[in-house]
Amino acid sequence: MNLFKVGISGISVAEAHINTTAHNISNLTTPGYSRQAVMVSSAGSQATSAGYIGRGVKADTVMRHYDQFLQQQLQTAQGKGAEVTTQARQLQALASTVADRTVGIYPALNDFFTSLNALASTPSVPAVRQDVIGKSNTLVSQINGTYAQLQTVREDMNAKIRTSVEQVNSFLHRIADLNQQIINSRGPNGQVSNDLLDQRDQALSELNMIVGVQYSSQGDAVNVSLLGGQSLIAGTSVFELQAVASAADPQRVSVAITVPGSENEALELKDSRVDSGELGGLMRVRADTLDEMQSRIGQMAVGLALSFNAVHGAGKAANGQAGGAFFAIGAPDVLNNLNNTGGALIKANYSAVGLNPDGSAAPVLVTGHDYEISFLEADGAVQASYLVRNLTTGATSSLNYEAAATEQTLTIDGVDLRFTGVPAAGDKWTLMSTRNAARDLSLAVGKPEEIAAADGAGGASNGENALKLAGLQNRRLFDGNTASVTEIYAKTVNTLGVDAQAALAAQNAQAKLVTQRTSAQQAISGVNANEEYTNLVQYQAAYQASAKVIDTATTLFDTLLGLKS
Amino acid sequence: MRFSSNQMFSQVSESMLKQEAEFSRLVEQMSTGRRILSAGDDPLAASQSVNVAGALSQANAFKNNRASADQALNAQEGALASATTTMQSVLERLVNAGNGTLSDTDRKSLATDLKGMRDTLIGLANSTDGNGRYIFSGYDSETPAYDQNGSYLVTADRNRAPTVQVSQSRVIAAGVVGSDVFSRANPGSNSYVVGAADTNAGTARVGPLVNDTTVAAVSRTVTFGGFPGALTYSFVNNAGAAITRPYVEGEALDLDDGMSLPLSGTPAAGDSFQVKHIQDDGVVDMFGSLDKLIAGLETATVDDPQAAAAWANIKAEHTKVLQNGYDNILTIRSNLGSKMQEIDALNGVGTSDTLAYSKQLSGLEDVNIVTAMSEATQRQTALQAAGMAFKMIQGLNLFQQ
Repeated sequence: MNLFKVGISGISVAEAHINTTAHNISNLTTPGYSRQAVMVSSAGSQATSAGYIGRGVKADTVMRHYDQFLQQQLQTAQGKGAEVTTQARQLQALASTVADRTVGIYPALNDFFTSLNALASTPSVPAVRQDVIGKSNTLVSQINGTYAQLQTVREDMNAKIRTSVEQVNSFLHRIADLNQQIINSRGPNGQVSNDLLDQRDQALSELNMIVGVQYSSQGDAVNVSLLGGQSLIAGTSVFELQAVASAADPQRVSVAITVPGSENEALELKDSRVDSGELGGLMRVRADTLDEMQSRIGQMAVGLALSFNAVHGAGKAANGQAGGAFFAIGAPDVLNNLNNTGGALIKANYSAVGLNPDGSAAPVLVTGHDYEISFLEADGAVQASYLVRNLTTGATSSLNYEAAATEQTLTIDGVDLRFTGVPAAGDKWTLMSTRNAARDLSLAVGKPEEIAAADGAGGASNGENALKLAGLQNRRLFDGNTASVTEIYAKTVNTLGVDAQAALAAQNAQAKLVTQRTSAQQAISGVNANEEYTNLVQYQAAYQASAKVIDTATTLFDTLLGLKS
Repeated sequence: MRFSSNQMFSQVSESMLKQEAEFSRLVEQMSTGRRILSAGDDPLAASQSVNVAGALSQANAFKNNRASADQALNAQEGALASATTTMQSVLERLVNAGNGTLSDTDRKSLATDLKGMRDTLIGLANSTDGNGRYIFSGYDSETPAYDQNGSYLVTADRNRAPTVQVSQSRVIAAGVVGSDVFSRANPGSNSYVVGAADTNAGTARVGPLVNDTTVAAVSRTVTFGGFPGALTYSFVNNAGAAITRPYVEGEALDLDDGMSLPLSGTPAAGDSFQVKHIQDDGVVDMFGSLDKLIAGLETATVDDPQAAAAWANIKAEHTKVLQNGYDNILTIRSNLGSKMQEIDALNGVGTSDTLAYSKQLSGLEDVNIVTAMSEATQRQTALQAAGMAFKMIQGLNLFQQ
């Protein structure tokens, strides 16, 4: 009798092996699948007078070949890989707007100054004046066009962020469901389903590629949180991410977490707190490159307009009148924070650039940085004040709040601020000094005879003022007198190129790391078809052998039964 | 170390994709001829090429400027060449006019000749360029330089020659203004002319002034006073002292400060003569001088010793002025000539600079076709090798044996 049992145990174990091997083979190409193996052990032995007789084999459990450490290493590398790939792709898109130096702003600037040189030599020829108008229009439209392209990239990013947040949420729900399923699947012998575990790991991997997460086990469930610690999944409860309009800048889509325990209350995350994954890459590019690039190009537009207008205004047009403004620019944006409760209004304007005694333009003070203005209420002996903080350099300026004054002014870095109304404690505003300036640049001079090529003495062949205007190409008026208008633009392009190259290099390096870590993880968990083939052959033989045992047992039994005759 | 089947396939396919991407990049480089396809390919070269392109464009702008400066200088030089010829004729006529045997009719016909030449000179002073702008009017190129009376029409603040920036560090005046040509003494000339007052009643003719060139004598007016037979002459000398001396017939007037003025003929009381330094304001006024000479030639002098003396004085004074003016024109022409030479030299430098920039730009941006093609062939081979490796891996599967 025992022999049957031993034989049957051998057959069932062989069957289990073959089924598991077949399972492995069918899942050869399933992403995230860890190869499974049956753990067998001897079924023990029974004591007899002749010694201990074995009871056969038993299958303990089906386990998956899995290394938690290698898996997490791989996921971290993949998350970072997704981040730098997204960065590289976005930077390529940005770089392509300024890639070709034969089209775009740079040649327009060169042609513009060339036309001014021609004007300085022969200001009396109407065709030359008309050419200046033409080249100015081209320059303005190139600057406007570049702004529009950057704005398209920005809106594209906003859309991607929304989509990514939706994807994240769908993964979160899936993982929470799997958590529940895994809890439910815990079997009588303490087993959880390996395939469900694999699916959950795969979902976590894919989630990590969108936004960097960390997780820890709690019983059969995993708790998932962002790399900064903000909870996303606790057991089977999901705290979704939300894509919200940023309180400081309604045109910017930011990521917000849902506060646990609240009714869908969102807490906005700063760009720098979203790390790794595609979202991390998008945030990096937006904060480090796109914002800076738009501001720089805006700074170039504002500086060009202000210094040009200063010199142009001091000259005489062909119709005998004083030169007016050459370029028209808008005003810097002051955005109310969505959480403000007070009634204060802040308006901003660019201060006019003055002229040095020798008639040349004074330095341009506009920095292109963003500023945060906040209202601090009175604290004991300290008076209530407005605090203006440069978000790039950290430098601060403050203005004491006079409740009695109807209007207060403060000039900071080339921008005039006017404060009216009554603020409430904690109110904040964002001043973007040049972010959108490139959109608002336009030509104020319409007709060739309005160009003030002559200096104060006038005269049809007087080109002295045009000479000064042409000289602005090389005058270093920006950034503390270290860069000219063309150099500012060249710096912007160069920084972008360097960033793009660095991102590409990081992408290549990270890809190699991911390959390495994949090899390490696959060495443990990957299915090798040849190995499974040999296993199949091996277990088949084992099955046949065990079948033979039953055969033998049957023969013995038959022999036993046939003893009577 | 274990290899999973997936890994083997994905390794090969990844390497094939990489080779394909590289290959297609090379193809794009070769077909566009550019090495830098996007700013990220080589940021340093990209920003350098931006700078070089800027320098190249500026160099071209200056080349255009030099061309227009050259044009302006040539236009002026052409006008002044004609003016030189005209002045030579004028001076020739004046030599003829010195012939004492000419009748009043002959002198009138000389006056007509001079009138024609004066009008020619005014026409030259009001020359226009191809665009109808007056080339000698400084900034005020829509106003003629001189009116028909010989008055200068350009106001002082606009009386500057237009300047042109011909190179990074050089701004030149592309010509001269009309007043510098026709109303200016030859720079550096240091001589005196003597003019007789229109109201002079005597028959005195002044000879050329004799002066000590080492003494800077101030212009002065000599007035005759006293009674006929006991004439005196008075003037104010360098020190500001009013000096009166008795006039001795036949002797030159001693005018202090190294100056002495020979006289012939008989002055009358009340006659005055002005000794003017040629560089003083208003002394050289070519059209004014021509007008005076024309008027003098039209006045009858036969049988009128006082008129003859007046004519002699006018002729002496204004011939000297016109001579100085002629020298001035020659000076200006040589000035214009040296500016044109400078522009030529700058053009030469500019051409070689432009060539250097273009070469630099090409080196930074253009793809080396030979290198690119050989690299492309390499990639092709690598791609084929990867493909073959893939086939081999396929065959290693036990399931397929």
